[in-house]
Amino acid sequence: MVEQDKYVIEGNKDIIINNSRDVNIYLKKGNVNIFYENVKLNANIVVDEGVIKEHLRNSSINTKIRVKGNLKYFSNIENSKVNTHIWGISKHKSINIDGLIIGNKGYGKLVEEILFVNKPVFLRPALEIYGNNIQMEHKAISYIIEEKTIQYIMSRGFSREESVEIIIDSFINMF
Amino acid sequence: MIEKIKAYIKNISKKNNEPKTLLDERLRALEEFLKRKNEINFNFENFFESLFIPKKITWDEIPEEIKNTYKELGISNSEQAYLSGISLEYNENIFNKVKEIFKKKGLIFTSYVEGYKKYENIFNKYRNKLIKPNALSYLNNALFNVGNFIYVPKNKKINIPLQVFFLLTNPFSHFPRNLIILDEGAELTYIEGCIAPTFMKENLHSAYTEIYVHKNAKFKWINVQNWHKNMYVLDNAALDVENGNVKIITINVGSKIVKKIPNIYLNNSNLHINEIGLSDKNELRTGARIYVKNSSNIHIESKSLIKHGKSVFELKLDVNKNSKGKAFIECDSYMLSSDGYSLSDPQLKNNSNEFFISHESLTGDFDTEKLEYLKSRGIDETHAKFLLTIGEFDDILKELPLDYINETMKLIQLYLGDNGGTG
Repeated sequence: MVEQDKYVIEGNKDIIINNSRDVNIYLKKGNVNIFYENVKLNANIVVDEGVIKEHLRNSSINTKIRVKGNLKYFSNIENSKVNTHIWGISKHKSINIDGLIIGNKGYGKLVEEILFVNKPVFLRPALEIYGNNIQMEHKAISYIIEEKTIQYIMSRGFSREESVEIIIDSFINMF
Repeated sequence: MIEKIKAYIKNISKKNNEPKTLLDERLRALEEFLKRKNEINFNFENFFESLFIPKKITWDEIPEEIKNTYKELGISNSEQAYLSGISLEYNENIFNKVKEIFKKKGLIFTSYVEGYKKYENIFNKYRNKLIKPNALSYLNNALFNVGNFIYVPKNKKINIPLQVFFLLTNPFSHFPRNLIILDEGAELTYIEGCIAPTFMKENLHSAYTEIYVHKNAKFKWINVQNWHKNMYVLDNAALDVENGNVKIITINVGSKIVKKIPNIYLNNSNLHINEIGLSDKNELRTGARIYVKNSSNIHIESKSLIKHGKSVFELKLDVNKNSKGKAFIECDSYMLSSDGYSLSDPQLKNNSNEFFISHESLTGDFDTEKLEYLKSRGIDETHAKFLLTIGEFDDILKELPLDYINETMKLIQLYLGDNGGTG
């Protein structure tokens, strides 16, 4: 079994990671600075509300962030590879994702995917690039629940509410 | 200095035979601009001085790189002199001969000031309603010297593209002011070309364009701008589209700073934007601010090449509650040098559970695998890059008229070569 480090954060915290164990973080509210140096790992983060700043040096990180409210995400890459996937469902709360990756060497990918249920959504997947030693890409999608999909599931004997829940579950299963 | 500018404005106004209301408006706008000029990072002192020192340029003063570009484009000597601003002295719109044909169709196509004088009813209804007042809009209001008023009546389809070319030939800046209205069921293709062939320090081009597209109207706006490296292009534009279709194709080449971010208000409409930008030692700020009032469909494709320059793509999308529709946005940029800078900054705000938004972007150098493959077939690197660029830009280029495709392709070829792109 892969060894994992776990953190539950409320307030401000700096995390320095220099071994390649996967990281699990639950950010209730606050600011977290994560410094990666010469590591290769997966980071799983759940955010209620807060700011995440990643600083990568000679590292390769796959970050998956489940967001439930407002998130400010920032990643600075130096000779590194970052693949960040931020997702959420706007059912009970509106979701704001203000993301930015900055870099001059390496590879960066920022994906923001939200299932719009009934609360407003704001997506900002910004990329700031210096020079031509870097490749970056981003994707932002605000999915909707189409009426015809609900109707199809209802035709199989489910109620409207149950149909919506099934669609939400299938969205969660994508990650 | 202020008195001199006022005298200059009075002079323009007198030359155009403008009513006193318009002159008063210009003077008021100047006052407002002077209060707000610090909002923009631009040396207006130098710029104002340049208004009063019209300077005749000689062939020897033209930078060597421009002469080389003309040579590579295969332009004859006399034409080179004309394009370099030696043989023309005044700013003017060059209206096409087809104007007569348009008149038969009931299309009103005249200068802004003539429109103001003759079509007061329409002007009162539409003028200065769309753009939020800012320093540049006041400056344009005070100093505008060219511009068009276009009105396409109900259900009139104008099959011939309407082509306007703004030539800047005095050694100072120019301020086009346009008002375009398409009434219900009308169709129009409007091609706008801008070129500034003189080489004063820090020229300024600041257009103010208001466009209204009504029910079932179709509007295609092709905007090709090719500037010299001393040119500041700071435009204000806004479109109000109600149940209409709008297609915007923009090509930006050269200049020192280009800032072109139109405000677009959509109500049950379709919007299609295609952009190409070539940035070479300059700053390119493109994108759009789109407000979806009601159900609409949006498709945006922006491609840019960046060489020793800055490219910023700003997109603000604000979707109102209960809007239905889809938005597909794609912005790609290719970095050709290690000192380039690119910022892709989409801000997508969705308030509707029936509006789907998708945005994708890719930034980096050309795909080395593809490049090596082409090189292995005996194609040199510059040409291989050119072929890859054309492959990427293909969808946008085919929307242009044939002569513009040729010009753009030549400019891309020059841009990728040693000389670099230049206006």
